[in-house]
Amino acid sequence: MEPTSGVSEISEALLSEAQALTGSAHGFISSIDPLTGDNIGHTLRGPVPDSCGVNQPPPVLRRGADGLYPSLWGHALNTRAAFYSNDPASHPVSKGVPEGHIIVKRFLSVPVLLNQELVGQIAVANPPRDYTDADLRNLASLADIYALAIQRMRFEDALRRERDFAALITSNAAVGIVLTDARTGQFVRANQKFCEIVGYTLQEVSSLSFQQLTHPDDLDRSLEGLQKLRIGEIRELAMEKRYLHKDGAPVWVRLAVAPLPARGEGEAALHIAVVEDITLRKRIELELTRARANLESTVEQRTAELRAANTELRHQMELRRFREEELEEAERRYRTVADFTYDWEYWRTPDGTLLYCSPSCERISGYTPSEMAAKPQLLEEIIEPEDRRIWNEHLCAIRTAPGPQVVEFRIRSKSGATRWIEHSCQPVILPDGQSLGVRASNRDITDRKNAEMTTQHLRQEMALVSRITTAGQLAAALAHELNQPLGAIVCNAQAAGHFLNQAPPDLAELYSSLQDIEDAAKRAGQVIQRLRAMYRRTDPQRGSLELNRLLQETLELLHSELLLRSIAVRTDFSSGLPGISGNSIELQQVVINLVMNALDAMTALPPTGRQLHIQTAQSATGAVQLRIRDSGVGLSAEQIERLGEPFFTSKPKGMGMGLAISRHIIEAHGGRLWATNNPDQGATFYMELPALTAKDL
Amino acid sequence: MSTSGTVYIVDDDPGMRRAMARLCASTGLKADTFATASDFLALTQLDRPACILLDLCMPRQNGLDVQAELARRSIQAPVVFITGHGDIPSTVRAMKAGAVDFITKPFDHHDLLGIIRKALEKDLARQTADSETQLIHQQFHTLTPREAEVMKLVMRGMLNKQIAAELGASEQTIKVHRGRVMDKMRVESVAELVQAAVKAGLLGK
Repeated sequence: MEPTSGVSEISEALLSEAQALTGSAHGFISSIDPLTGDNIGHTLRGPVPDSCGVNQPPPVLRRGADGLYPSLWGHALNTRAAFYSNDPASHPVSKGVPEGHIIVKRFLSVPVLLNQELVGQIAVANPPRDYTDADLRNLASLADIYALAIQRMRFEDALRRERDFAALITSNAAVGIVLTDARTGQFVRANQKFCEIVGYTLQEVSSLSFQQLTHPDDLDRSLEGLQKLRIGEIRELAMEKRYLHKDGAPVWVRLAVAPLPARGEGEAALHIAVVEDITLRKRIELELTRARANLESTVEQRTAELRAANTELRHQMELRRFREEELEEAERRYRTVADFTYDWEYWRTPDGTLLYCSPSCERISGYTPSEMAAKPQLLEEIIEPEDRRIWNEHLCAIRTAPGPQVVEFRIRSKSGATRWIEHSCQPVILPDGQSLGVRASNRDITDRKNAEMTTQHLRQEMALVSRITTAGQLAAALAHELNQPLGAIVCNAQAAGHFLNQAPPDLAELYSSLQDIEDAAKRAGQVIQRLRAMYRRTDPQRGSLELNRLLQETLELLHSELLLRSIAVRTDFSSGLPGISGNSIELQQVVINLVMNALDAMTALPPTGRQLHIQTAQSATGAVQLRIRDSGVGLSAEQIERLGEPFFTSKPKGMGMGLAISRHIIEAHGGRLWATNNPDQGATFYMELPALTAKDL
Repeated sequence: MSTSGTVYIVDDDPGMRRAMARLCASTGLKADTFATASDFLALTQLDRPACILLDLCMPRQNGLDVQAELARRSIQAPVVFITGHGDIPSTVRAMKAGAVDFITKPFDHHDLLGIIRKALEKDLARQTADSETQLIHQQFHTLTPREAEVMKLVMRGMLNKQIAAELGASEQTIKVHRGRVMDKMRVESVAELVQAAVKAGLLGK
């Protein structure tokens, strides 16, 4: 609290009087701040050393936490009794003089008390003589005057504040200002703004207490704060709380409450509160908080996403680095593999450039990879002319049906030798559809081809031997078959002679005799032809065949054999069977073998029991199937298992070649040959061949 | 050549059937053709004289089966087998079973017509013989049991006195029986009686 100019003048005068009365070189006058209890110096007079901490501005003697003032200076304040010492250094309270401080040789101090309240101090020091009790009495009188001056000053202050406050309250302040009774909380005064904030008229506010206006949820907090203020724990209460507006709506306010010390009383009688409407701010705050929370969660989420993306990116980068290293390694590895491959590998780009050609190219073709690279059409040129068609068809096929393709053809190597090549290739196409050309592998299969051809030749020879053997077995039957037309010819010729000799000759009968002779002779010729076919080497040509027709012809050939062996034949040919692709001589040989096999199985039976059932049908898979069922002795498990193995026979006189050759023929036709035992008696042999499709025609 | 009769041709081969039938027709013989044995065996009555041409080798019932069935039915028409080469065992069996002849296709060394004619003549002869025997049998069946007994003893060459003693009758009675036998059997002498009995196969009876 700033001392008023009036008090200053009085204190100056009183200090001058005190110094003059005691002849003191130094003088000090102060007042106690009623709020802090600190002893605030107004004036310090006397010569002061430069280093002294107590020169301008006037010193302040702080009250300690224990409520006591320090050193000999504060002694009188603590004891509330005036005293003097002409040897301060030896005084029990003295703690010695700090360096640079005014050297105090004699000291006299008087507390200023107003109705027992300590309100100030007058102290003097360093007169040229010792202090006396008289000095003490004089200064006590001065202290009383000083106390009265302070009392008057306080009164004036209160009056002024009251005036100021009234002005404040009546003024159109931007904040609400209100005075409350410190004990009851009753509103004493309020300004217009406060009324606006709470929605009551000035008159209504006067009849209310702050407890009534405070939002119930905030009341405890408010009372708690006021209690602290009342007991002096805090000097000012600042808080944010809600009032209840007259219309019932909560009003957020920030208020600062301070006690107004009442005149002549230790405890404040009034509280002054400055009230600021912060509803808008609160709302904004709330929204801000919400927005911040949103923002934070968004940020958090984004951060998490970023972090994940970052991790992924790092992972990708590592993976990529690893892949790149791996790629390099793989490149090295694959090149090594490619270079050391036994086959002739190459990769040709769409424009025909040879991207890669393995060194085996030279071993197989005689041309080096660089020769091949220099002349991209060299591969086509060295293909044997007869096989160029295969190559060209293959090139077409690649274009229309992308995918792995395998073809076989011959090339003429640099040295002029013919080499068989198995060429397999596949277009290299990126996922985006871009073509990188064709990757191909050429394998030298010359040895395999030679072996195959030898085998093929041997098989054909064996098939021929087998047919000749069969023809021999059928000799008697074929003779019989031939005898029929020959016998008919003889009869018809004799009859023709008779008709000619008649008078007149029966020309009509003669003519039909001659016609029958011709038919019979043709029939005999067919028998001979069939026989000859069996002795012929087959050419490998295949054609479109009808199984039923093939069977019919074969059964005609076997007609006499079946008769001679007293076999009852039943045929069940499915009409509308699809065609098959095959070599008729070879397939006929198979049918003959199967029928003969069935006949042999029935030799031991009495003639009436020899049943042969020949059926054709289309299987579930669409294949054309022949079933030859006999009523013979049936097959052992071993026979079914080893069916078609060369030299495996159940017949005492058999060579074991018939079924082996049959099976080979059928398999070469893409078909299947197998046998099962019938549930009742005998066995059934099955021959299945793929049906001709529109594509084959 | 004036041989007449019916030729039954049983052959599964249509060409052969037609050819043989035409050959027969060209010489005025009646020919009847059958594709299977069962078709032929379905006939209940055969013409006489007849000749049966049987293909030995046929599906299901072959020539031998037909021959056996004819024998079972006591049909004695001559059977000629037509064979191919290489089935000699069957031919032997056929001949043993009473076939009159066999001919091998393609008839290069044989005259089919000649064989047919011979067979028809044989059947005709058998037919004649058969009718005489039938008459003798009819005459024989008119005899009383006593007369039949007397006839048996007469054919043994016994005298009336011996027969009377054998049968315990008077010589006069035997003489009457003997006269009736000679009348009924229409013979003049004992020699003729024996001849007729042999011809009709009555000797064992």
